[in-house]
Amino acid sequence: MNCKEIHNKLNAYLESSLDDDQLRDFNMHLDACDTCKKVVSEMELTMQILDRPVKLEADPFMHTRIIAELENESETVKWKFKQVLQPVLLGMIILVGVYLGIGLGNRFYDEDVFSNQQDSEVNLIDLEIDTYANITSDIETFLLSEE
Amino acid sequence: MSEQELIDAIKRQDPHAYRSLIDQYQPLVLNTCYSFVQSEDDAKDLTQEVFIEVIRSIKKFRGESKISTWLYRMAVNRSLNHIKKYKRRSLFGEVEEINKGDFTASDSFNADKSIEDQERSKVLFDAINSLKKNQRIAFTLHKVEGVSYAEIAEIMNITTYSVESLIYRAKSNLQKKLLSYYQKNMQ
Ligand SMILES: [Zn+2]
Repeated sequence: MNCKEIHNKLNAYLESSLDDDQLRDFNMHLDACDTCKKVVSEMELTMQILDRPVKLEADPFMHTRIIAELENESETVKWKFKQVLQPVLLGMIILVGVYLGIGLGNRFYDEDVFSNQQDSEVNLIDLEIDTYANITSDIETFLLSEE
Repeated sequence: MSEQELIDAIKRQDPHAYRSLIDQYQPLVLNTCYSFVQSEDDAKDLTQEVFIEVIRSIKKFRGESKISTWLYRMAVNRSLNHIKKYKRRSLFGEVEEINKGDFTASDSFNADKSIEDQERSKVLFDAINSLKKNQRIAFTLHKVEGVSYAEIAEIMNITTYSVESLIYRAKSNLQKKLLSYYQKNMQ
């Protein structure tokens, strides 16, 4: 065998699948060729690392850390609601309130001018606005009183 | 506790169930991550991330596969993403996706190894990391983690035949890469 044949047969050699004649020729070349001998030996030693994989010991504090992290996370979510969502919601409610207030004012103004024609309509709208106002103040009370 | 009971308990956010899950599957997740990233500290961090993700997304788990299959998938994905984040120049040509930092004597994997063996490990895992992604996953799960072909097929969602072929190609490419590396560096 020459160097090239050694390289071609290397996989089979590493898998121990060369027949006796081939193995004899293979070893004969290694005895005569220092370079191939070194390369084959390195290859063997490197591939052998895979035959003894290292197993890590389980970390006994893993679950403690994970559960703490999960609890920490749900605290953060609550905190976010209180610090961010609650004021945003409140702001939106105030805007709605202002908008309704303006609407209401305009309605009363309209009513003065066209009082005769719009009686029934105004009553209906008043009812709606009352309902909104109640809901709004309910939510406001709820949000403000929470803790 | 059966798998389904365990999952139901986790869905109920029972901390005892979290603990059972972690105690039972930590070796699987930890060693899978380690076999890819080759650093104990990184493997531990990734393991923690995997369990947090599993518990958070447990509602998505329909029980169509085993918990272990699901955990293997997450461990592999997290590990590969982690490696991608810490690219460095590989011994094997182009910039490769490779583990963060070099192997150090502090790694338990290398603690009882000679300098030569540490160098060989580095060469070996650089070569494995330069394989095509699917070959690398199948080969690492099988060769380093000892996972069966059938289970790898499930994890990767391919046939057992494909797994065999991926591992065969991985091994032959790995040996080619190592051979040409040692030929160049042995003169
Ligand atoms: Zn030779």
